[in-house]
Amino acid sequence: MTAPATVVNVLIVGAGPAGAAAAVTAARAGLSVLVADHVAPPRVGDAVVSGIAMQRLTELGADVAGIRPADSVELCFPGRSRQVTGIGAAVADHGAMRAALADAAIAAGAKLAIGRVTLLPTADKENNAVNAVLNGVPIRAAHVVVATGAAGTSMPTHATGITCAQRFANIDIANRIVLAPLQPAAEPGAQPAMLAVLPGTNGTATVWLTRRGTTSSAAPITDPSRLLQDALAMMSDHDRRFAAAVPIGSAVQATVHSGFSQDLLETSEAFLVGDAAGLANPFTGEGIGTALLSGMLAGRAIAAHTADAARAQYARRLAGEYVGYFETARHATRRYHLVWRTLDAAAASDHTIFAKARRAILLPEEIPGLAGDRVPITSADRVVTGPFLVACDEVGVASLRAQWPFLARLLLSGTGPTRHRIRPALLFLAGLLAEDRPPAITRATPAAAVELATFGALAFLGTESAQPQTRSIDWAGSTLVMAGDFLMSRASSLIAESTPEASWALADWLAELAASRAARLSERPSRAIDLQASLMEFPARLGALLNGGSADTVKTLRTVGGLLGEAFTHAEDVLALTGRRTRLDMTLRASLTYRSSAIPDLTGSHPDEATRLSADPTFAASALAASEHACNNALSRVHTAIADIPGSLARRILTAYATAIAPDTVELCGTPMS
Amino acid sequence: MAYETPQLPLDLAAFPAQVSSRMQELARGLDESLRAPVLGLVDRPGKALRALLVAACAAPDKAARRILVRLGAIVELIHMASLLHDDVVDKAPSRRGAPAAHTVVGAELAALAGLSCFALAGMEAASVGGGAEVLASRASAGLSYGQVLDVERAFDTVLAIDDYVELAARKTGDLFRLSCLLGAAAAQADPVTGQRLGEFGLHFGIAFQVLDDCLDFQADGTGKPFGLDHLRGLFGAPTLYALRSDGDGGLAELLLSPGFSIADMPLVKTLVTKSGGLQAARELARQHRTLALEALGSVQDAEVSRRVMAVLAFQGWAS
Repeated sequence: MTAPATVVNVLIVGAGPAGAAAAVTAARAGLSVLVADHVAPPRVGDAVVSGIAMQRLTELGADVAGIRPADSVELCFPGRSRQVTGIGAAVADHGAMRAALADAAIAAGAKLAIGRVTLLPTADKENNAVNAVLNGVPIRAAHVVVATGAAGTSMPTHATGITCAQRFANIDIANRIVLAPLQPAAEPGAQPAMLAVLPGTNGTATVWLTRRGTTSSAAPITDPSRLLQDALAMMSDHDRRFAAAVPIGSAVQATVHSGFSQDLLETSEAFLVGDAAGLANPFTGEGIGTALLSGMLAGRAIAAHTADAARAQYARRLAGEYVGYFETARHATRRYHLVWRTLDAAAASDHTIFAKARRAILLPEEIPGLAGDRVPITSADRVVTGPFLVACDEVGVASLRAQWPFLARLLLSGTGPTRHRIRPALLFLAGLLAEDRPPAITRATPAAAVELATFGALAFLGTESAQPQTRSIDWAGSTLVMAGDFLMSRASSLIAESTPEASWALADWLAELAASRAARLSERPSRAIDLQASLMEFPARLGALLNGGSADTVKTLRTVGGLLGEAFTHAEDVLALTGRRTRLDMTLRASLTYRSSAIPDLTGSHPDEATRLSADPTFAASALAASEHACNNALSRVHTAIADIPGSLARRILTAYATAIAPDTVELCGTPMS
Repeated sequence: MAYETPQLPLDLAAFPAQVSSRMQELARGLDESLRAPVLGLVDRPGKALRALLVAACAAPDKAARRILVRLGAIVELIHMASLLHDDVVDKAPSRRGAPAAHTVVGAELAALAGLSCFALAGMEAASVGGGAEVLASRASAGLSYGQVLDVERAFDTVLAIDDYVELAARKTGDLFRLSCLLGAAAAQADPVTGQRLGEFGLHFGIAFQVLDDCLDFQADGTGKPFGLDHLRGLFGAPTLYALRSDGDGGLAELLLSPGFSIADMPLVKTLVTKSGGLQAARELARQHRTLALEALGSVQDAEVSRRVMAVLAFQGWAS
């Protein structure tokens, strides 16, 4: 039979999460969309849907049948298990999710077709169109989106992994997700792998095993079912929950692509989304949230721009929201092992950097920032703050991603869609605006530098000094020092090259941070609040200085920043004492051990005595009352000081900042890692 | 080369002490618990090779002495920051003939002392100005990246020589380059001279690092803890070369075995020497040394290259 050419705005190849997200977004914008897929939905069982992926599913109008919350993750490193709660994730049947997304695409006006698409090389440049054939019918489309999963692109070996999955009966893990690395990653020549167990219904669970490809690319696993059963047997040696597991049905396996880079998108003729763009987490194989994100960004770019401009815009936007794990291709394998070894070695550490790294690297990706982390700035004011913060993120990420992409990921994690969090750049911006002079957007560079240095300062806050095995390196301690040095020197470079007049002030501030921390470690009298006061005072002061603020204004900004840091320190203690997640992701015990808690200062106790807090409720109650009082006191002084700032927008930003610091804005949902 | 008597011109001979005294001045303002580890290193200055290169690269009478001393202090402070941090990372027991700082004051204070040195260098560079802050911070960024490259390659028996050279260039070369660039800038050398001196520093640094690796395989007496790097999976140029011609994989197997110990080093030494690894590493060092000397030879001002050669000869390097 012969058929006339079908003409559409957008042809999407592949109806998985990424393709469907692109279809919904483009169709809602009024474009004609055809989605084609020849693959029957894989019936592998369940997949993790992160908190932000849930938000995206809602935004896309996908109502997934049988989706159930899995609010906590258990990280089972050898010798140390910890539970992370309040992550807002869920578990859903992969097929049900595909079906819901397909329904959403149809509801938005997209058409679905079953069949194989062949893209023809004869692009119609004149009309900016691509020719294709679907089931013998010629198609002409202005844009083509490739959403065919890992099969859609080829990736270098270092960015390719393999994952296999099977459903099991007789595993009771309640509604928790269990993540367990399978091999001691620190050993020379180890081939690390991650086991993920997702809770099903009626005592069933879906078990995933993910690892990087071996040297001969991602050769298929010969007997995935055997591999999974062996892995569970290994787990059950020390965890009886997996001892009686019985496989149901057969195992499946798939390739994992983690080779995302902006360059990959820019050099492709089509829009690559989801796994085809290398967006999967190489440690856990997970990637639904980013698949949805990529589809939505592609759909938006297509709706807003013409052919080439749309692709460039898409590449830029996605690279702004996502950093690939292997962007430093030449060092990819070694860096991957460094991360594994460090995660393994730091399993027992409660250092803020490791707490954040575990979340950013292992947990369902892109955990949305806590409600209490958000600074409530009105949408009218966001016209000014938004672009500045976006520019700041771009500079910060760009300065890290080529050499240490994992750190860049850490910088972006939790940023979420708003970027208006408790962060130095907002204080810096308030400083710039202190006398109502509009700031140049180029000032985002020193702001980003101050954020990198703050991040670096946190790395120096406490060291890990585990005695390594004879044949090994102290991976945890080394990584902290190396990350700290790397961030500090990047920050100094950014300032020296963009704002040399601030070079001395930056170096002087670093010396002050070191001194403040050293004093805190000594037996001399010291105050915990000094460190955070210094961390928040400097960006506010520097912003004011760089935009011609008067001596009085600079002084006021110093005061405001210092008080915000003081309030922040006490707010951390209040959150920890009331069992909520702290902004630095530190437990009460950790913040006492690292001497960053102000409780000993307020109660006149020695830091080591503070272990009494868990045993002595009266002492804990008085510590809480004192911390709350000190926090409120600092906040009320902040508000008084803010009133002296001439710039009205600066006043509003700082007022919102103070509001966000107050611990009562944090809901009781998230608890720190125990 | 014709510089038989390793003797420094007078202005250079006095230079290290002046740099030390400037560093003492700077360190005086540090918090008391950071001052001790920093001053400990200032008072045991090592060979001050990096500072000397600053002064040597500045044509005499073209740069104010006062400025050169401060530039020398910048380079030595960045070097000290990296030593303090390297020792925390390596858990090295000693440094410059005394117990390493972290064994005395603990890892965190030693790390903070390193951070303070970095901060002092930054303040000094900003006060001197004229682009010193840009050059110094770039070199620090190179150094810190070199530290990452060095650690992440642990137990990599197939590390490509190119990757190894990149590591050496960042970890060691960038700081020598900084010395040369700062000296050239202080003397207001033309851009071409600056670039050539920088190139000299970079290649000299790479050769320096490769020869340092070779020390493990030579007669001892170097004072360096023998074999520690191999124990920690960090294989130097001779071993990496040997691994490339490790036909039956015996050397790799030995190096990766969990029971590997210092007692195995004589065997490693034999295997590496026999397979030509040590010779190949020396050849690599020679190549970079040649590149360094070529760059130096192309510098217009013969007095500058003569001074640099005098520094190298004094350090036992120019023969």
